[in-house]
Amino acid sequence: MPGAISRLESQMEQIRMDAIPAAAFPYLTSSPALLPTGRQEKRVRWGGHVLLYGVATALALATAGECHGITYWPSVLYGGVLWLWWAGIASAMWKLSQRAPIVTSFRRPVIAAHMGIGSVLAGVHLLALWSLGLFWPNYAHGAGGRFMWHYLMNINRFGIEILLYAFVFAMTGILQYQLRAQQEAIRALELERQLSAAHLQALQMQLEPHFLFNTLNAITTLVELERSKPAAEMLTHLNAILKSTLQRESPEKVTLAQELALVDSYLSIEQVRFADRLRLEITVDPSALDCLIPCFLLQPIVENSIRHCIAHCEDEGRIEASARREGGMLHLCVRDSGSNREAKGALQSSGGHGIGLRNTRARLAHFYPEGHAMTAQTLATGGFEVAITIPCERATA
Amino acid sequence: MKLRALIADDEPLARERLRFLLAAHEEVEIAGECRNGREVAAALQGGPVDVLFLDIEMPGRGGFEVLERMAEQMDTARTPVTVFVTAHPQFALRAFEVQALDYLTKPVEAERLGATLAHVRERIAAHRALATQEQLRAV
Repeated sequence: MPGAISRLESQMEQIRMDAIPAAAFPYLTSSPALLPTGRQEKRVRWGGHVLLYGVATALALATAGECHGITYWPSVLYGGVLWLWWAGIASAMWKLSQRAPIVTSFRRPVIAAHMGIGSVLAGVHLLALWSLGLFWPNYAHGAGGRFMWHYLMNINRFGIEILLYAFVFAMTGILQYQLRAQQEAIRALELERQLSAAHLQALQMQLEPHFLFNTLNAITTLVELERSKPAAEMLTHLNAILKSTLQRESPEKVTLAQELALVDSYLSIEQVRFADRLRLEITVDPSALDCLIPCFLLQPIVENSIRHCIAHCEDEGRIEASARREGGMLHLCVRDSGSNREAKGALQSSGGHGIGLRNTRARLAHFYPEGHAMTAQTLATGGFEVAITIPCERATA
Repeated sequence: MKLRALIADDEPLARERLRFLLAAHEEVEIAGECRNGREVAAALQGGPVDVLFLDIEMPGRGGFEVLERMAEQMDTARTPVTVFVTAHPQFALRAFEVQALDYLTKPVEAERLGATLAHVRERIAAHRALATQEQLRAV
């Protein structure tokens, strides 16, 4: 390996230690924030009940005040039976509707059923109010039961009962509908997020199986030939690659230093395979090292160059990678010297780069919807060049 | 009777491994090592080769192309027996069509290589017997 990369190593070690903060795993922390927690939900529900019964109590006291004052307890009882009844119906309807949404749906049969139930309940409510008069004959200026009967059992009172019931029904229905729509939207959002996370995962590096076989073959050979030092080095590099590839939840973004360490491991292994045929030149602006880039952004591009250039080069092939920072932007470039075969049919063979590059494009579009640039072209010299410009984001510790 | 073997593979470690495995067989003599198709052609011009261990995916001229040219340019008597050595099992059928003697997948195992070499010796002996017979008939 050229000196440049090994000189970076010690710096990388440092950065690697402290640069993977929780911020690198944004979607692990974001999901609880999206969905309301059980405790929050409970607080909302209790708040609703307190408000409901509070209003009913206030109305009960107001009614009692209009009759004989809130110190005259039969009046308070009357007000209570008059208004708390509605609070009870409203909360019962809310609970039922939560268990079975059909209870407050605005379908014709349901509305018809509610009209029946509303009429029965109106009758029961009025009878309950009337019965208060039976228990206390002195109630309402001593008029007792008979006065109360005329006072309550008429079409006006019945109509008001029905209207109030309809009001409670409609309000519960509308609120429940809204709540469900909201939950539905949250669930859809969550699903979408999971899907895009899965999609990203799929776009991320998939280790070329041949790479693994080739590497294991090479290690076997080195061990058989009793060249244990290069064998151990190769195992270390393979270990580093597998560690980042097989991570269940790989971070979405890593520092350039981390990505370069991965590329370094990959290239060290390929260097053993191709020996003198592979020449590398890596130039990195040290101030770009802690910029964040999408995980596995560079590795597949370098792998493409190995597959399409070095593997087809009879003599020496060259891969140049560079990274520099300019203003707020990070410029990355991977260029290879091409092969004879590639030079012959430059345009056709550049199609081989296709799938890998399409993935890279899709990922860049996901991470930087505005403000990224990527060009991939066959050079006049027959080589292939991929240039990427992305905003330079810093790791926030 | 010594078997002169030519190893063609673009990866140095792969060549080394084959050389290491062949070293266990006293009757095999390494005639040379090649990194690509061009070098194979040159080596075949140089001296007689009995068996060619040929990688399929090599830069420039690949294994199949080497075999085709060999069939065109060399007379049958001097053409070496070919054994493909490759990491890719999907070429086996095509290798069979071009009458390769054997098809070894990497990593090559010592035992499997032994069986291949026995097979190679049989084939070469048969070839030689046939050649002698033809010479006698010609006389």
